Amino acid sequence: MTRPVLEIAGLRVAYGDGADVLRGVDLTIAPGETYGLVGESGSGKSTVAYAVQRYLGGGGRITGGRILVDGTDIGSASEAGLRQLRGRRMAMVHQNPATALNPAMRIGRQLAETPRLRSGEGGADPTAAILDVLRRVRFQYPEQILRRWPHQLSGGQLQRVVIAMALLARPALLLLDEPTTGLDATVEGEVASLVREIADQSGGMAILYISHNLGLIARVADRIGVMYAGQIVEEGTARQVLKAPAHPYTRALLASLPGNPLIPPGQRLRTIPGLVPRPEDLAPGCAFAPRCYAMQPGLCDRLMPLDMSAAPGSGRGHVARCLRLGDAPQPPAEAATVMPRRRAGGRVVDVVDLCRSFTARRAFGGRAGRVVAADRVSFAIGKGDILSLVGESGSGKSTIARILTGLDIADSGTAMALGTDIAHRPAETRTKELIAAIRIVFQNPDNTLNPAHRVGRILRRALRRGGRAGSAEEVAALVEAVRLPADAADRRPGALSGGQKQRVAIARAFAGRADLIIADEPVSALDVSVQAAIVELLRDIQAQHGSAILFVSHDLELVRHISDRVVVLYRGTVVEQGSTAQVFGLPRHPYTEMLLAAVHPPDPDHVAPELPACNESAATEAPGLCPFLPRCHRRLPLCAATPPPERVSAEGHAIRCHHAPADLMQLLPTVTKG
Amino acid sequence: MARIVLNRLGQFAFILLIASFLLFAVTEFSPGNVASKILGPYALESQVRSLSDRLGLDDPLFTRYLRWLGMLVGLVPNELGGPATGLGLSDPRGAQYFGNFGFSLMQGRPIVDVLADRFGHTVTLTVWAIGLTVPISLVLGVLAGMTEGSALDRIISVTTVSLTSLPEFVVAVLLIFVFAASLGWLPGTSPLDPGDRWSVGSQLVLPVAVLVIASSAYVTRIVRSSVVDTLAQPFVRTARLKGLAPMRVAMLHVLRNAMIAPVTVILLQINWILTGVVVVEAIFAYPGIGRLMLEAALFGDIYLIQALTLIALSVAVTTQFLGDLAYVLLDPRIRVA
Repeated sequence: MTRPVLEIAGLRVAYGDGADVLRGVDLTIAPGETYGLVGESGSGKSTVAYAVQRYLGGGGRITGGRILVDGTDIGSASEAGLRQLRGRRMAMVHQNPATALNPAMRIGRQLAETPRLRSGEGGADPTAAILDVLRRVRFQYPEQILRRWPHQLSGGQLQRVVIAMALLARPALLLLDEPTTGLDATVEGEVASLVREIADQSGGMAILYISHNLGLIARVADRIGVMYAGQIVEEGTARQVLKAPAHPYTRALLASLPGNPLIPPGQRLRTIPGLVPRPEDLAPGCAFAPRCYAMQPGLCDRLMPLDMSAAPGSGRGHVARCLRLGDAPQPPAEAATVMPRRRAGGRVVDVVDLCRSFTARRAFGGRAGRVVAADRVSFAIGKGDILSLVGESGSGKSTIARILTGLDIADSGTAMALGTDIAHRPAETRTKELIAAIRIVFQNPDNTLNPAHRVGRILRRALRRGGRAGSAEEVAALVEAVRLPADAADRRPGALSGGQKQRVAIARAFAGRADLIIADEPVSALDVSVQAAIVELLRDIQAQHGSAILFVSHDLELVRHISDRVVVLYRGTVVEQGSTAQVFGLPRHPYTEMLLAAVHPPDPDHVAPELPACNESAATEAPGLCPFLPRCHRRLPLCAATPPPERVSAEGHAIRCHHAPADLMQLLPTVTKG
Repeated sequence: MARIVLNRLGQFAFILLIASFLLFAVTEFSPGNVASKILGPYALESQVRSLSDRLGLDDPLFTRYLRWLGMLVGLVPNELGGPATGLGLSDPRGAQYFGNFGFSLMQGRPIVDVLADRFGHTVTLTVWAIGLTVPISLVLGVLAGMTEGSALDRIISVTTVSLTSLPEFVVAVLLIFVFAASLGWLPGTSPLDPGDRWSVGSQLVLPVAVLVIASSAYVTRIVRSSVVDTLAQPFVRTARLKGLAPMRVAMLHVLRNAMIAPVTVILLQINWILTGVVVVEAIFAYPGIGRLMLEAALFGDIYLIQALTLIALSVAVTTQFLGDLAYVLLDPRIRVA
């Protein structure tokens, strides 16, 4: 066997005087291998990547173990030696490409720094090599990219530039830390398939791919390590870990995903109780024991499973860190079924021809053009219904949610609720009843609760505004309804976890008798293991109150799981709407098709449909024409001439496209993974 | 780029016009009648009356503003010139020229001449003070920022915080006490009297020192915190993890981005010193704009006050314009294509 490119043994890392964040990580990556490291926030997965480069920041230090990169011991290397390694033997791609590049330096110069490092200032002109690498990361016109400034590129383009920069180092080890987090699903898929392509063509480059997204990991990794609380708890090939998970944590995590084929839409998601522990809160015994369905008292809460043991019945190399490995059962099905909902008939909100556009401003007050956030958007939400708005960033989902809550007003069109048009009424002019009737749960619970107020006060105010007394009993009932600990009312938001804060936000939204709850990406900022519980909580309370929900999300599996109706937006235009079954079934709009093609379940055998490439530069946008035209893979000559008609089927399934529904019934050909 | 500059220039001209009207209107509230001030305490009521009429002092505010503006740009002759008032006889430019601010009541000379002497002195002070402040604070600020938390950083930070909390007059008095009164190395006042070779130079040292201490302590802190902020940016991490040498990271990736915030502050300092550091100039009896402002205000020399305020405004607007220009050059994101 050849020498591994990366060899980590017993790695322990601590920040400041705190407890160890990494508690003995062992990991090896062979040349040409792609290793996927999965874990939730706080599991220590990014710390592994930074420890490998010995770049832990001021407070971080390696307290134990050893890291060998290409045979060099990172712990004892000199600063100069480390720099040699960084520029030549390993390279890293970070999360959030928008901040990873120097805003005041042209792309070409930034890219040239790495090859210059190798050849020296007076060396050969690196332009040819740079253009070559830019072509590899799928830039059609790499010469143009060299002259650009970072702010002139989109997020996906920037991340490809950052990957190109890493590849220019011709590294033996490529580290990718959440490279697609924050990018749109379609772009995410593109970057993931690019990484896969690079891995296949690299000829011996080892890749460490870090992500919390099991679907993406399934797409790129050969082997997978699952991290929990600073340790790898399970490791094996992608197929072993994802198809036959051995550790209860992996099993529970996979079972909690909304795309889980075992749980049909409409059923409850499987939830994992509790929270990801902080390193200083770890009790003796297995770190996952407090949340584990297979926890055996007297065993798991006392002994620490020190070693990885072979998963029974699985192939070579599949190991897990669990004391009950042989006899741990599969996660139990959720006992409760989804509560029956009252769908009384009638509408809560009726949106007709809503329009909103913004003027983008240039520096020094010049006009840069109009951005259309909503263009004649029409939909209706029935009483007690869950309607989802889906689309990429910039599609106008949030603008519509803001108009309905009164944080923004429409340019034209109407939104009828409680007998009045709310499209032109900012929140400050709305009546108390109207405000209480339409409530919102925001994406990021960290900054939507006043940190100075105790939870009890936050809820009391919400209750009073909703026309109730706000007594201690009512607050306690609300706290219990969202399954927060009873003493939560006495705490301030800072003392709560992200999931708990989102529970407070949900409690606040439901404090009055809201007819409509607008949930703007309510779980996307939360840990994977907490998401299912929040979604189910939202559904339970909604069923009890009979409120309707406008659910804004980019997570199509989640949308499919919980919605009654779905509206697909592209650049402010509704391209498709219908019942969940209609939108996720056939026929489908080419854009919906593209979004669904980007969905990747945590299954290494999943074959993604490959969209035919379209020549983006061939089509231009024009007002009135289909906004999706420049990206459409099913473009017709007609599309560049007239706006597409909206065809509505007898069952109410609307698609705005020139193609006849029969043409949109064909599925795209699938391409097998290389 | 050229369009941005022209656009901005147009905006500033407009701002200047509006502001000049406001300052003209505000000086209206200063006590005393201009005509009686010109004619002195022994003038007869009728004389004051007739001069008031000739100067149009009872015209509506806006008419008088337009006349003042017209005089300034050389479209209208100065009514005050001539033997009747005894003013302006010595003005070789005549009664109508560009930049005609009128006559200083206090000095009985055309204001342009008064300004020419004094402004030159203040410019000398500014050039020396800023010329020393910029390199000192860049070096100290970058050193402290790059070594955040080190002993060097703490020394620099503590010193600059203490110095910024000291008012200039305290620093000035201390320096005078030590270097003039006790040691006797330097003169304690700086009226810029010509003497032997080093006389003027030695009179400049203390006022410049006071300004440099006040400015550079402040600018150093801004540079330091800007460097610290920039170092924490992810792109600096990218540059370091690319394996670039620390010097290259500092010079190419950190400095240019860290300079954006301090540029404004440096220009504000230029603005501050150039428009007259009244206190410092007064303490050292320095014949600059600041002391002139003080004298004009005490005398009630309304034309001089108007001229000085307009100059202060123009300097403020110009430094603002330069600051914007520097932003555009330093930060490509502002230069939207």
